[in-house]
Amino acid sequence: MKNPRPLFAVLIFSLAVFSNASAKNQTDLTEVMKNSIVYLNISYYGYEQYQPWKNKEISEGWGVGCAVTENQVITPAYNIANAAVIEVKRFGQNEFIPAKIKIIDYESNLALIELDPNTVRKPLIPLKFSAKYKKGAEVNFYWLSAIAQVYSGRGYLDRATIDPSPIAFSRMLNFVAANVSDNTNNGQLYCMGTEPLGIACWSSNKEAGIIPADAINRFLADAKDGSYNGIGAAGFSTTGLLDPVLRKYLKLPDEIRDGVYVSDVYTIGTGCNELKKGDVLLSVDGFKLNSYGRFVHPQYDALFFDYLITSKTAGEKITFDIWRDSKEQKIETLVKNFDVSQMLVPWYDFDSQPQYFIIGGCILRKSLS
Amino acid sequence: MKKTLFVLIAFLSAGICTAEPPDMTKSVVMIQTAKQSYNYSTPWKQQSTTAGVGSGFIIAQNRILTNAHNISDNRFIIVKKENIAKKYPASVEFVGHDCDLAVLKIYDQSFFDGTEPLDFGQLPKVNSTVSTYGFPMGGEHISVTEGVVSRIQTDIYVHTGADSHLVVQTDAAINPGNSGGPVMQDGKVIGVAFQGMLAADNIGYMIPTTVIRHFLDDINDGRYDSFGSLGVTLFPGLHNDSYYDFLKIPADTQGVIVTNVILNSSAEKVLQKDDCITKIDDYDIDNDGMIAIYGTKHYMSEVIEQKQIGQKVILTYWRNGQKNTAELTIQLNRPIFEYARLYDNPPRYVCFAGLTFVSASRNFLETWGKDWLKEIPHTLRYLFSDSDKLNTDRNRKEYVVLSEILSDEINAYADGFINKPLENINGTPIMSLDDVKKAFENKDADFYILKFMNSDRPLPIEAKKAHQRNEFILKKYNVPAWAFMEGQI
Repeated sequence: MKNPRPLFAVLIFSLAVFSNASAKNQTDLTEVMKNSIVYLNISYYGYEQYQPWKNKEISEGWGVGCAVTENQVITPAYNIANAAVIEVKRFGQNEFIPAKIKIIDYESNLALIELDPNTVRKPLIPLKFSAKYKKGAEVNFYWLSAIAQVYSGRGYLDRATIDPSPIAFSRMLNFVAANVSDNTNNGQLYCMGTEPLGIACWSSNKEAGIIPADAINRFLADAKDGSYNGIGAAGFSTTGLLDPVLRKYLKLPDEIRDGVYVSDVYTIGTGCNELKKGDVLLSVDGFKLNSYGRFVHPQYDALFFDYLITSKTAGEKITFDIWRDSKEQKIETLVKNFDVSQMLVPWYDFDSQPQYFIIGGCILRKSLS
Repeated sequence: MKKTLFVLIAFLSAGICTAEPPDMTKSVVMIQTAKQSYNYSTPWKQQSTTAGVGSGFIIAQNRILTNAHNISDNRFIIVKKENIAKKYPASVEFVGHDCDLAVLKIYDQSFFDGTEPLDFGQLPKVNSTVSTYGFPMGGEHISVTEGVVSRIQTDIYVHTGADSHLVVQTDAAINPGNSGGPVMQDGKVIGVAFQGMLAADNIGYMIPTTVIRHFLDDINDGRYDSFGSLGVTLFPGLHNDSYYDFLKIPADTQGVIVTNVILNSSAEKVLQKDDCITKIDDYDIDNDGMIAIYGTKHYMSEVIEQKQIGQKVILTYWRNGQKNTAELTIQLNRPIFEYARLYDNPPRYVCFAGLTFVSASRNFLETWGKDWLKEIPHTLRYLFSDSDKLNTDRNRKEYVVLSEILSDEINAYADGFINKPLENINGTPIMSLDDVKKAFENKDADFYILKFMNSDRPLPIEAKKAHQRNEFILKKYNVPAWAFMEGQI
């Protein structure tokens, strides 16, 4: 019989190395975040949709604000939709700090909240969102509770994705953290190591959506001068171009294997005046689109081309390469967006009383999606 | 005074006692039917066979009257008399699915030996006693139940799910198997038992003799033409005082407002939107659209129900402050997207390049199952409920839908178009299945470009290749023919 001892020794050694590695990668910023994250106490006071002169019953919610200046924090816009009052609680200060919304953008799902400078006893320490996406990396998240205690949790970065928003028209980039240890959907700060990565915006089945650093930094840069332009919005829709017969009918040469079919062009939004129904969109800003409408991003891998519009600020340049009239053409234009109220049936209507009039007891109001 | 009353009661009693009640075993028959309906999504297929049992009764001219739903989609019909072992094969002579009535004939005339045809009575009075006869579940012999007439009103006939006629409600038990049996009063048929309300206790319905007589008169010329209509949509708008000023109608007028005139109807020559109809023949119409008839109030449609297609009604109506009278011919006026369930005829279809096209019908929508109205795609729901307003093309005969794709390399990318109504092929509007057939018979084009409603992209099919693949696909999927165009639209 062979002596089992050498194998036993190897196993113990391996376990020791593995647990050392795990402990080494774990970073706890609980202490550091005490002066950078705040608790938002939100009172909601929206309007009833069928009888829009009535307010809904007041309800309360909470969220997390992440400091971006000494007295300003960001949080997901949906978190404070129809907010009547926002009060802020921070670590080490018992009383609530009054706060007001400075900028809110439901398309990028971000809001900038300003704390009353006279009530803030000591300046917040602004966070710099700088972490780069790394698939599979461990991420930690932090939030301040109602009793002013910093909590944390963890998960793993699973993917970068462009998914339809539950509310907004625009399809934005989100990081998705998997196997997260708690539900995070209202602004919890996600960090990779010591670097802030983004803020939590949705949670489902042990997964969490994160508004990434790039989107936050674009939002803050846009908001810096006080006039906010907003992100680009597509002025057209596309469908996949997988059917070889449709490609043949469109007279696409064999060497062009990719691109998507422009199935509808709107009256508002990016490309609305330049694109035509029946065009084939081959590339955006030089990024070639496959037949599903995805391109390869150097950092995030395959993303839907919507990112190339919604990651830009309205007014920036954008280039479309298209196939039209049996030849390739280039379109250079500016990224556009629109106020949701310009939509025939607006996708949402927050923070304001719906317009209506009553005649003969009949209530007439604008149709909402 | 007391004496007079006694004499009257005695006379009535004597009358009742001396009237010989008919021997219903000589008149009421059991009807056994083997049924097989069609698959409206894969229209060359038939469903499994089912067996049904119902009732019927013998009427004049050696005919058997029963419900249409007893013999719809039949493959074989047997008629049996009470206490006689012999089974007599029968066939349908006339069927009116819209009024749920059918007349059967039996080739072996010996069937009628010893039988007694039943006569028809009038509309019964509410609270009068009636007896139902038939072969309901729970036994093999004729069953009789007794009850009273609870109410008389216009209601939906569930066999087609779309047609409304007068019904008589009774609390005499009407159970499965009673359908088609006679409901008797004073020795005469005053109705045909035909439907009940499952969620209620003892709410059964019979088809009254007003409807039966219309059916029997209709078939006198050897063909059933169905019930007609005015060809307009009506709205009880005069409950709103503002309508009087808006339409310049005198304040004491009662009537109903025309909100839509059906395309290609005879009403187009007579009526227009916003006319206010106040009188139909000699009947004044109230603001609910009711007239005084049969000793009570019923919908004004009851006047049309009494007439055959091709007959006329005289309408009095207000337009632009003027009172007018006009004659209107009653027509069939079915909606472009048929509301009613269809029976008996195999569905028409075109199956080309594996793409199966059928007419958009209630039967097709019901392939979605019990909750079909909720489950169907919204475009089909919109067309189904509003086709009379949405269709503005008088050449349209039907909407055509891509119901099924028989997978093949020629249609590998067509999945996204399933259940969508077809708008045009190579720019030619599709108004009927005939148009689809014609479009695919044209071999001049390189591509068939199919455009569907509510679809932003077209479906191109390579014409030459599609014709090459077609025979192979039909053979592979056992489709008997690439197009079946017989039967009614």
